[in-house]
Amino acid sequence: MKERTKRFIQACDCLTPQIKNILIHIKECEICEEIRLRAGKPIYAVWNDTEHKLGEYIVTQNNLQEILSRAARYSVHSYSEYIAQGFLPLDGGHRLGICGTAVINNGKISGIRTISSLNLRIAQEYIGCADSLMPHIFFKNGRPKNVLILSPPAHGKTTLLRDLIRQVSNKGIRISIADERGELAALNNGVAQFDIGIHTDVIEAPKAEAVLLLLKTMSPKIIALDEITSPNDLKAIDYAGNCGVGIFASAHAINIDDLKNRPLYSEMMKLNIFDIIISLEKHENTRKINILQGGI
Amino acid sequence: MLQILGAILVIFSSTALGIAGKQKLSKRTKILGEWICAIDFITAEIEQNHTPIPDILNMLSKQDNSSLKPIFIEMLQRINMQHELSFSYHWHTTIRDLAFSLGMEYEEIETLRNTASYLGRYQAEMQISGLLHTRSRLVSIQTSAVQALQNKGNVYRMCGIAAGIITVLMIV
Repeated sequence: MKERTKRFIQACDCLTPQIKNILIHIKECEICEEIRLRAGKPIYAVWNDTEHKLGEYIVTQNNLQEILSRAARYSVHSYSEYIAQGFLPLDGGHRLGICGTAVINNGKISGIRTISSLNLRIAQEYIGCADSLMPHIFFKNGRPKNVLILSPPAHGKTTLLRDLIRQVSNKGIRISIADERGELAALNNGVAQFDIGIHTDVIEAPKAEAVLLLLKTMSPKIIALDEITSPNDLKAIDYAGNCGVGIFASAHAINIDDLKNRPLYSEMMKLNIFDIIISLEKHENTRKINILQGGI
Repeated sequence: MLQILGAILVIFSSTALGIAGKQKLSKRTKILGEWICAIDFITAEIEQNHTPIPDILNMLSKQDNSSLKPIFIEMLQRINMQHELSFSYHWHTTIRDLAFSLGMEYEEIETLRNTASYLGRYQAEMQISGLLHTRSRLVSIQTSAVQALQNKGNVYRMCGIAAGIITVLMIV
């Protein structure tokens, strides 16, 4: 069985037997990126950027609740912090996105009460997808550049960042990953389930706190983090940059103009942290890497 | 001589029947007490430590001197062997299959089986309110069981002894 098929089946493990049985028989399991489950609607799978209907089975709200509790090892209460953020990390780096009626406590989302839809994102590993990027990553003196990867969601930022980490780490450069959602390394009992290179350390913690912790304890040459989303993340990478540590990061944006239009990212651009900015374009099942700024 | 031996045997056996009736009642109150403790333990683990349900079951299966130990051991085995089936199903069926042998009765079995509809499926607050409801149901069942033990327990024993004596008298 091919690795991608194995990963697809692994992701489907959290589904109810009936739904899993429908999914594991689809031919497109190798290119399937997401599985969309909505209460009262049929099952849809996403490949080539399009949702494809799979059979006539209608997903019930009870199915969604059961899938959530399976994904949480029948311990939804143990994952309340993740659920409050709208997702659940799964074994193998897969991710279950959750939608429903939010529970608000002191003005903040503390959980999701009635699940209305789920999005199972299948994590894939494309070894070598950062090959074309590698000649641009180092300065002439051998020091790695600070890299920012831009793309809209589901374009492969995390996959590209992971391969970049792997390749740079295998060159003997010590990298630490602040893997808040467990998608870059997918630790299982402390062992990374993705190839992230031999000189890589991983911490699964909120990014801002993780960056400061890594600086203090792991003396990294580079710190990598997926998706800069808050002012605290920005403060942390600015601090790390000023400490002489390289940064590999990603952000949700189409291009530099789009980036500058957002308050958080325009602040980030003012800090002038990144030496090279890359964007990802998606064409059906292929991706194109564009170097927007700072290539050789 | 044989008549005396026979009479003793008859009295002993009917007394034993009476005592067994009383013990059945006292076993039920004991097991209900243990279930209330187990529910308290589950509630505390969910509330304080957010412990995953399989880990809680594992802890309960290792509690010595607990009559409930076989239920949790069996439940864990079933979960590991048939992980494609839901936890609710395993909770439901394990209690159904083992409860009668442990001296539980229909009322408490149903109360505990209903726990499967929320245990592990919702966030902590919702599970805790469900568990508190289950606990109060079990406490009220236990109160009735204790009353039944006080009222009927001695009656069963005395009836057993009396039935034995009457049988012997009738035979003689």
